[in-house]
Amino acid sequence: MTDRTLSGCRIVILEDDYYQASDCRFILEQEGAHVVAVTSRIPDLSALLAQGRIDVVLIDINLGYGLSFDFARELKGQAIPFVFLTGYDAAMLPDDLAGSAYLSKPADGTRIVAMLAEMTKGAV
Amino acid sequence: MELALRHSENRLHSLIEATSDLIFRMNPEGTLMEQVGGNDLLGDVEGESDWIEGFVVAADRAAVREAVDAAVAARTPIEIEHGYVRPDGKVGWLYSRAVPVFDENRTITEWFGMSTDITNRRLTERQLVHGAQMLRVASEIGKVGLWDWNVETGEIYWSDEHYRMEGYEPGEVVPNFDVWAERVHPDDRADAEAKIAKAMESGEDYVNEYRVRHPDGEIVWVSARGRFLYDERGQPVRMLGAMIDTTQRRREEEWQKLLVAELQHRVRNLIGMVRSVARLSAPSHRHVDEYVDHLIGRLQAMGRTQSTLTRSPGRSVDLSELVREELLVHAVQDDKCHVDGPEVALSPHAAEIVTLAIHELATNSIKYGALGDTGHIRIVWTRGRKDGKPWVSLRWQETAPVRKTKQTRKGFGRKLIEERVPYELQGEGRFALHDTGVLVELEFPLSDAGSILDTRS
Repeated sequence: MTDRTLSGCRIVILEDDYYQASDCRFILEQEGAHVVAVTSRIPDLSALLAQGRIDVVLIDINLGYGLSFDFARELKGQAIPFVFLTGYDAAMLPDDLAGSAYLSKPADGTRIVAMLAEMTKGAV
Repeated sequence: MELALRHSENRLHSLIEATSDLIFRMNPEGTLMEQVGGNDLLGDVEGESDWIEGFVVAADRAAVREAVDAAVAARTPIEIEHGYVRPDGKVGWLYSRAVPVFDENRTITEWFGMSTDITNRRLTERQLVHGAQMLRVASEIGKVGLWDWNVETGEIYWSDEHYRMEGYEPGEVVPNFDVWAERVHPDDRADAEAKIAKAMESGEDYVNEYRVRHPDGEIVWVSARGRFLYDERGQPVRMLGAMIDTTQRRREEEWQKLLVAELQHRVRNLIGMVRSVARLSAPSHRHVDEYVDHLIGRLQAMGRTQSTLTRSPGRSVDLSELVREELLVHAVQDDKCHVDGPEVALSPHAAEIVTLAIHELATNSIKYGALGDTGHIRIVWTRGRKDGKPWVSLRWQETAPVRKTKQTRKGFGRKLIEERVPYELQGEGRFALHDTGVLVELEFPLSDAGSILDTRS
């Protein structure tokens, strides 16, 4: 159990597509991650934090009803690591988020897991 | 005395011969004219002649005659410009001035005058007028704003179009640097001024694209090009320039950029979604053939939503049309189904999910339920309100004598209804398996499309 790549890692998935969200959850759980929340809407961060720490957040940029940059800024403000997972190009990122970790869709599970593992190294 | 007079006459004669003008005299009535010296502009004409008939172009004769008659009657000098026929037969222009000579009774004895050929001046004037007209028409048609800035005096000339681009009525203000600068968007002002200063210093063309802010808040993008002119000491004296409105072009460029980004997003997202659907479709099938059939059926349902959306210009889909088309695709006969509900326009996103749901239910029903047997289905929907928002409630009800298998596992269709509807549409989905068949209820808020293209996928 503990030898899996993301063992004990607490992750939030923000993704508006149900299938991709489910798929992503499945992949991460296979790797031992604890998916704290999977949501299509921007969540209440403080309510989530009240349930425990968050090691990393996977963020889809376009949530159908708008872009999720403000949430990313909120995470940045709380020093919570996040990865953009999106069909847009990195050029879409606003200046203040330009250097953020970024995965282009469609990203296969191995790449997602590898990046999350890299970002949470030492955190768990 | 006589010598002095002769000397004076000689000098006058020399002057007459030296002039490039024609010196003439006319009878008191001004009808007959005789060249007395100077430049024989009219050619080799001896003695008196009816000059108006002989030399004035037909179009100007009446006006000339009128002016001459008026001067004769008023006994005042004549001053006229008119076309004349040159000795070579070509038409030229003359400026003529004649003064009356009186006797001691104040009666006009003759007229004495001179004519100047002004053909070149008239042609130049005409070219100038022509050029100015061309420029005006071209700049108006091409919607080009022109400026001419006198650097030394600070005066600026703006064409009418320039006033409009700056958000003024033509002539509303006296243009100057400050009047211009005031309309430049504050964020672009320093840069525009720096570019002008650089052009002035370097002699290179001024090239700038910037925003102009109108008093009503409207933002207009302009592309301006200008050039400084310098005197012999190298001091800038004038700056001439032209600018065009590029707002529409920029808007289109932005739109195109957005479309490309959106398309890229969609294609990538769609591939991601297909991959996830493929994976999620897998567990329920032991046989590859069956799995492939199901997967293709789902992808085709997704494809149908896309083609429906392409057909509907309003980017919304009529629920009734969607349901009927989906039943048609599955070859459900009219006597086996009852479809009823008010007109409901679905967002592309909702349309995609409902299409897929009907597809799953129909496929399932053909295989296990009412549609594969002697039963029938009722698909009815209503509109309502919840939390101040319009909602739609759709019900799929099967009635069949006996259901072929008991389905216990939560399959793709059931997940779609129970999980995807709440997840993506913030609605509710219920799936119940009765002895007589499946009963499904879908409820979700009706919302506008959030994105610029069809579905958000």
